[in-house]
Amino acid sequence: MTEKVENKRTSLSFSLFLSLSLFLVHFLSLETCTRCSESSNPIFGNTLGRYYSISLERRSRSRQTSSSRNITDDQINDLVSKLQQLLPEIRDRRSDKVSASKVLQETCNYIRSLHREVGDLSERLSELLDTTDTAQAAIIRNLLMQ
Amino acid sequence: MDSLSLHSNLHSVNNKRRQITHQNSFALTPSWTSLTEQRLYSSKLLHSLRRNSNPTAALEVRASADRVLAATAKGRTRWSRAILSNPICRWKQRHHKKVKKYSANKFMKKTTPEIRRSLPAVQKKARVLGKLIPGCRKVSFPKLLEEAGDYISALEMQVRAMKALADLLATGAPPPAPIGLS
Repeated sequence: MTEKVENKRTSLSFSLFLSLSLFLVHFLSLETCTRCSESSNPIFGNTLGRYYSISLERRSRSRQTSSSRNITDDQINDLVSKLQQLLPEIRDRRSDKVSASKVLQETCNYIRSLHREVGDLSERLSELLDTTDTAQAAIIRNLLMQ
Repeated sequence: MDSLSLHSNLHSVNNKRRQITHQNSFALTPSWTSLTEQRLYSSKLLHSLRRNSNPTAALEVRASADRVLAATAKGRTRWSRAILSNPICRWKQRHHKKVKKYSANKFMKKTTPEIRRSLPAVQKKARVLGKLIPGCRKVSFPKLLEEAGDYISALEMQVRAMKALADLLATGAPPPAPIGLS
């Protein structure tokens, strides 16, 4: 009889502990997601605890805005330079400082030329496929997979 | 707690970037310069083209080429998801869009010239770039630049693969005897 009562008590305490831990996990996950959605300041993130970070982040949004602008500018410059290396015309003049507007213009031109090339190749393939029979296509597929 | 700590670690490591998801998705993007990827694409493209009824139109070849390219990217980038989700061939749409754009330009010129003038050059060209890449009309500027880089690499691979395939079809396959010997 006493054993049964003790079993009930332990099961109750265990379920209570489980629900409490689940609640904590849910709360912490929400906090982390909100932090991820906004670009948080690393200094604030390191020094302050988790429970105070949400309210204080709301108060200091003006600082975050300026810092996020700086981060975004650096990120954009990095992306523009990476994009510049992909373009054949601007690739060679790395020493010269090319403006973002110029890089975008060359990107548009290059994509258009690639589209045109794919269009020409599509027409060529269309003509060639009409003259090729099925057995030949199977042989070519085997060659490609070697 | 392990997943939470891992998540927070990822957050602290990639502190400069706002979105972790696209960082991960771009890391998993296939390398468009590898020969294996090109061969795989060529084989899939040939298989896709053989399904079509003879004779095959050039537009259908192009549509198949784009769909196979997007499938090779496995939907990890925005442009590939846009191609896979759009059943209509976008190259046919292009003609209609030109007509609409022309009339829209007329309308824009008449009613609101100031807005058009005040656009800076970078933003203007970013708009044009957004139209060239599928699914990137209403994307933020950093995201547009990332998508452009990946799209260019994919297009270059597509051109290489289609050239190789056309050369194979043009010269004709060698007779089966040497293959049997080797």
